[in-house]
Amino acid sequence: MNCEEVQPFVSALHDGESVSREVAEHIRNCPACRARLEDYARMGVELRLLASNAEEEAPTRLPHLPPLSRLWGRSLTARVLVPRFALGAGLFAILGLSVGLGWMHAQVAGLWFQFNVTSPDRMGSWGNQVQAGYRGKPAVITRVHVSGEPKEILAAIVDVDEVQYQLVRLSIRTRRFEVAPAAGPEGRPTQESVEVRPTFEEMERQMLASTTPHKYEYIPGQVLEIPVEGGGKLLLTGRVLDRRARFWAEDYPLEPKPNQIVLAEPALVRDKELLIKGVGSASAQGEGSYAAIFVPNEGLFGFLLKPIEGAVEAEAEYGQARFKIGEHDYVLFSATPITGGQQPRGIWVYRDPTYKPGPIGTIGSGSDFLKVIKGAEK
Amino acid sequence: MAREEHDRELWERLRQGDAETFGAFYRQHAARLQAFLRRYLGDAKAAEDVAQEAFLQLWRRPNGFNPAGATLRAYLFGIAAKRAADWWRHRAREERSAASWQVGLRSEAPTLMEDALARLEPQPRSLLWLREVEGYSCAELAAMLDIPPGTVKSRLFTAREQLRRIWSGGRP
Repeated sequence: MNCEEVQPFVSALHDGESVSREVAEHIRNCPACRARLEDYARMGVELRLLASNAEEEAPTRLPHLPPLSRLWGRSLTARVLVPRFALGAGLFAILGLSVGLGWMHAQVAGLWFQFNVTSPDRMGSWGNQVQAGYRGKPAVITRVHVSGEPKEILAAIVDVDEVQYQLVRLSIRTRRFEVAPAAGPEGRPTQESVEVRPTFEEMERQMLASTTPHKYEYIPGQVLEIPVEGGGKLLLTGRVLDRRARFWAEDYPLEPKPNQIVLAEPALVRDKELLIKGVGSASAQGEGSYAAIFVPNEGLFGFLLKPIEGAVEAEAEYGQARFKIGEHDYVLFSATPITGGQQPRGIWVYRDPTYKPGPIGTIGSGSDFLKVIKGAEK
Repeated sequence: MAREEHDRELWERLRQGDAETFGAFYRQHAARLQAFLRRYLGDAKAAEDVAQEAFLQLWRRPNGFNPAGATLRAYLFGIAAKRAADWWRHRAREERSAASWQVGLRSEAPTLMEDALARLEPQPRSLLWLREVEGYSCAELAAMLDIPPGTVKSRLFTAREQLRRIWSGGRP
């Protein structure tokens, strides 16, 4: 080994990492590398001296602490006043902060189990909050690619048998399905699509008839790995609350990447009318990614990182995006920043008033919004 | 009380909006956080603003913290480091020449550590400070800054080499 190869290990050694015998031998016998190690040590000492010699300024003013429970009302009545540093936390503070209050003292009887299931590659996720006795319907993690393999769905039926603070007993059926797009190979077989064979009803029937529920004892806060019959696995995380939570932040990227778009418990306000709020979460990553919410009677609102024909530009700043369609001013609130990178930044909004959602619901995300719209036109 | 347990209790109180606990946490850590930010940003006023924003973010959004992971203090420093990085990005956009003092990595004579540090780029400067002064491990830094541990190590190495060159006046 030569000095150049060893240099990074000198830094690692200084940080207390172990290095290989060969590297240690080199450093011991090489004056230049020893000098480097000694310099690093002296630099560390100098930096600490610098810190201790610097006049330690008394803490400046304690920040004014806004009363958390009042944030919602304030930001609804004066939307523009949500301060910049509240970022996406606006809704979070508003909707969610009641969640944690006093939950340690609750009676066990009314406990809620809030869980989320995702595939390890996070191709999709779903969640719910339920109480003991909940009997699940099949929920699916789609792994359907428009082109190429694999074309599969990981489905799970989660029953919640018992909920305690420290332990949740679950019965889970799982099954991996090979699926084919119902509308041909160029159909809508992405996460927002449900037009696949077998249908969900068929999946449910098959699973109830032929899969065995496995019992799990889940410790809240842990990640439960669920092997899927037929191949693959799913990951379940959850927590126990004494009341029904309005918001669950842990699964959302609080600092999305610039090529990521996230809607977390989104609320959409048109002029001064709240159109929809708190419908779940969706996120997608990649240049062409979009997240969309369906508003009954209004249609589908797709939020995209790249423009498409017919889309209007919105100014996204952390947890808010403002845009105008026709005569109306819209504000989208999301509990976490909508996208990453320098803020504010432009994103695009496409409204499809004719869109009819499938049974998956009102929020979705993916990488090809045009297919969603095309699918809706069929 | 174990660190994790202590932090969890502290965190629970913050989540419940306990302003007194928050005040104590602030008094305990504000000065060190500001010292770090002053080094990182080279601007006392900005350091104060960013520190305030970091504390406020913790107050408003305590659920971003994972008690099983880093300490609450490390979490606070992580928020501050990210906000400080935003501040630099913003400033760089506004004032392209702001980085002109970063030139001259090789000087003729050895430099005092304070000057040498000031001539380092903001990101390596902050990383070294967090490692050497605040004592955060590579794993903690990785969690704080949302970068892989391997990246922390390579950035630390690069930062040390840059500082060493400035500090020692270009001696190899």
